[in-house]
Amino acid sequence: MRTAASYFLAIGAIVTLGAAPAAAQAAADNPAMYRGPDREQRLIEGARKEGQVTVYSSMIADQALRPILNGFEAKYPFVKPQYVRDDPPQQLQKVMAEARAGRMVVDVLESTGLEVPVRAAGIDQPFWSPEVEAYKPERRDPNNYWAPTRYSYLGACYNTSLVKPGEAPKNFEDFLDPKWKGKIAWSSTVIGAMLFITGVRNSMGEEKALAYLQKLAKQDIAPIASANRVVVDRVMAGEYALCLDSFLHHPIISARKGAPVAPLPLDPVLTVVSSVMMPKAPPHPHAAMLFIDYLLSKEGQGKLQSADYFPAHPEVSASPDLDKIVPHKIGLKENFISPPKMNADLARSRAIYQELFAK
Amino acid sequence: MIGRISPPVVILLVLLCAAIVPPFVFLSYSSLHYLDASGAFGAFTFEHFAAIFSSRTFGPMLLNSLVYALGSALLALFIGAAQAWLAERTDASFRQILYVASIVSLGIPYVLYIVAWLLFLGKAGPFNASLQYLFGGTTPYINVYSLGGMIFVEGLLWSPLAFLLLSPVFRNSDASFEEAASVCGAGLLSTLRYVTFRMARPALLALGFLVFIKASESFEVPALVGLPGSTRVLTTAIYQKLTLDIPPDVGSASAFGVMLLVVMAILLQIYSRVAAQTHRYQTVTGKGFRPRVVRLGRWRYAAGALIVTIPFIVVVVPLATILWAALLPYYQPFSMKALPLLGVGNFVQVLNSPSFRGAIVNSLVLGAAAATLVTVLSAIAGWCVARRVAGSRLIDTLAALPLVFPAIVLGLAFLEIFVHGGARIYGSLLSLVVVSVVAYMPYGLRYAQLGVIQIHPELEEAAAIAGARQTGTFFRVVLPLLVPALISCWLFVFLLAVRAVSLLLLLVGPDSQIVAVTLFDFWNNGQIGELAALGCVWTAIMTVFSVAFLIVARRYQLPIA
Repeated sequence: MRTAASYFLAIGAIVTLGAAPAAAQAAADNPAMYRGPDREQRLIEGARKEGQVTVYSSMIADQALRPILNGFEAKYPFVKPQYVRDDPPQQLQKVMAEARAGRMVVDVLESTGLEVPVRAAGIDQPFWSPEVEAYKPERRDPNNYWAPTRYSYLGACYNTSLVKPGEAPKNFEDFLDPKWKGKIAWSSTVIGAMLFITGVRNSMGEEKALAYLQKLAKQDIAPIASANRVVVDRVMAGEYALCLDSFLHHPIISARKGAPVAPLPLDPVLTVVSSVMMPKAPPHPHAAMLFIDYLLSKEGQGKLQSADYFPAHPEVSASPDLDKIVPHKIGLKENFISPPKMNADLARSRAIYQELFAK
Repeated sequence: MIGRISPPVVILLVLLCAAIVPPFVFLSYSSLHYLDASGAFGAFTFEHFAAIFSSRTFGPMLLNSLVYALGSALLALFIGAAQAWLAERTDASFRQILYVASIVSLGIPYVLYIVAWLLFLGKAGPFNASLQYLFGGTTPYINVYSLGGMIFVEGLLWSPLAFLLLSPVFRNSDASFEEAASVCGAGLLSTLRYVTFRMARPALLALGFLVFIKASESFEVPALVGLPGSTRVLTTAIYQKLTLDIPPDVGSASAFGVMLLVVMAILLQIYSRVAAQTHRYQTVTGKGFRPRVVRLGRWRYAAGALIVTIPFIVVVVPLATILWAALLPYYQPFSMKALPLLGVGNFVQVLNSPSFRGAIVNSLVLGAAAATLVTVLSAIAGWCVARRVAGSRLIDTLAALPLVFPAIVLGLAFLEIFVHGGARIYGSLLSLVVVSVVAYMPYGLRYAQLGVIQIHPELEEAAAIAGARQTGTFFRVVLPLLVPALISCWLFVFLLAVRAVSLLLLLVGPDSQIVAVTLFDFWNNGQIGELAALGCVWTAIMTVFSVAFLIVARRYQLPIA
């Protein structure tokens, strides 16, 4: 036994000794943390050889994701961007499956609420971009595993043909009015009902929140098993009069195209941040880093601005059209749910949902 | 025994085992183990099963599954049988329309069809709006997101196939029984009741059971119609376990999958008994075979109106709804007010986008590759089985095994194989081809077997007497004669493979996007306009294939399914 053990130890030592310089070399070659003066040139050369970048994002494709990718492609025509739009749970399922299956396809992951589970799964890596420095340190990850891309304000919205502006609910309590019974919808996803419940718990405190949610459950809220965007579509189509959990800029974008829908911010306004992450061993690391640079840059953030999303970059303001839903501009408070908070509260919020709302 | 099995049969058996054993193993293993935060297998547990049985939603879920499958089967059977009788046994006007409509409907992707009905029957759709206009009130009269809505859409989805399968039954039934009935003074209705439909009863029962099984394992209608109204069935529970929780609850999803396998195994066992009964009523006899056409007289035009109405509901309404959605920048119900908004923006977006063009190409490649592989394998396997060579019973059993896997469960099982099995093909087009071949092998085999049965063994015996070896006989005698059956097998598998959503939903990656899954994602992501536009383009392409299929199948008198 002893001989066998020492034999394996010896093998182990040889492997470790041999691997150490190789690992150091690989780390130096990894564009994710590279900070040398020739960084940009290196990235461009590497990306040119890779020719492609695959982005998983939860931004709505025709609203924001595609304009950003088009902007990126215009700037770096030698990199062909492709995307997959999914809700966060599906994104996590896919990225974890790819990592475990040993066939990574994703280069860049942009999402809401996945920072902690992705870290727990150990499938991301720290990255550095010169663009990150412009963002406030307290709004990004100290260990460089994620950086903020956009803010979102969530709240209600209503169909303007079915509900006159004066009659629309103005606060959380108004949604308990029996006249709305069966006319309210929400998304039954993590970013829908679960996040709404987390928000209410955070702002009202557990006890009051539970009392409120118990009354809300009597309103027969229709659970749409799709993205929050789809719930707004159903309200626009007149299937429901009200929705509880829209991204408040979505109704504004649709109203501009003539749809009968308007946002309804509720005090305090549920606020979340979305982040960009870099998976371990992406197939196109240089192109991935180049895209992250672009996404965090003023130019990339400008695409979010013109798409009527809320840029995370401190020097890129949101479009003035969005003023009527920005909490501090309309005298409302923010109810900020940080990524760790969102993750920590999810299990309890789901339990409440199952108990009160799942039929 | 082993020594008598020829090498090609051994290779076939090994291939089949490699295809069908791992899905069982991986699915059961992951239903009995925890996963850690990184997605690796952890400790052994019964908890996934225990949690399902103790959940208060489990009972209602089973009841929903049962009512839904039964209702869909009855509706499909009713519509299909009515159409088949009208088309085959009466002189009603416009009978040909039924065939055209059924063929076109075979090419419409499930998701597109379902979405069309959701838009049409939705709370704000034209159907509810008309009822409100007629009877007053502002609340919707029907809620399509319900068990009733699920039954309606699933029943309609299967009605064209029910029609195509039942029309030969009516076409071939012996008219002398009916004549005898009318000689004895029975009217049209009692003849229908006591003779025509009674003779067709075994076929009706078998077909009804088939739709029942198909509905039990269906995913698309339960996901798109059932989930928004909180009507859950077993298949959607699997999907929700994987997509609602962070991190995904693979263990519970697999436990649901294992339970569905058990249910399917029982149902298929019963089905094979029911199907065996269909031969008891042999109605095609040697003597004076001549189906009688019922003269409807003044009812002829009423029946004609009915014949026009059914395809109108099954095909025209959904396609018109989809075209309307495709032409709008954002979806809204039909109104004159919306007319100025119409435009081709969604079509431009779809046709100019490399990723959508990629999805179309991927779908065609996937369909063609899967169909070719299945056809080749089933030609060999089908011959072995039909000629009862040594080891053929095992081939037959193994190749039929994938039938117990509902598509979503087979997809889940292969997801686990790709994730934990180390093949490194997860998310690739190749992986989709592998899964499709396994899933459609049973269908291909049935086709090839029927083809071989039509070829009399004396042809092969003649070749053997002339000195040909077994392989030579197969390639130079059997294969050329099998060609029509194989072409129709190819087209059938092709149509199945490109239509599938739930089989590949968990497996596609960005470089292997396919149309059917893209449509499903569009619905969940709120891209209705693009969904409708891509769906229109795709339906046009698919109609060409389904017409080709029907022409080949009819030319060589092969069964449709």
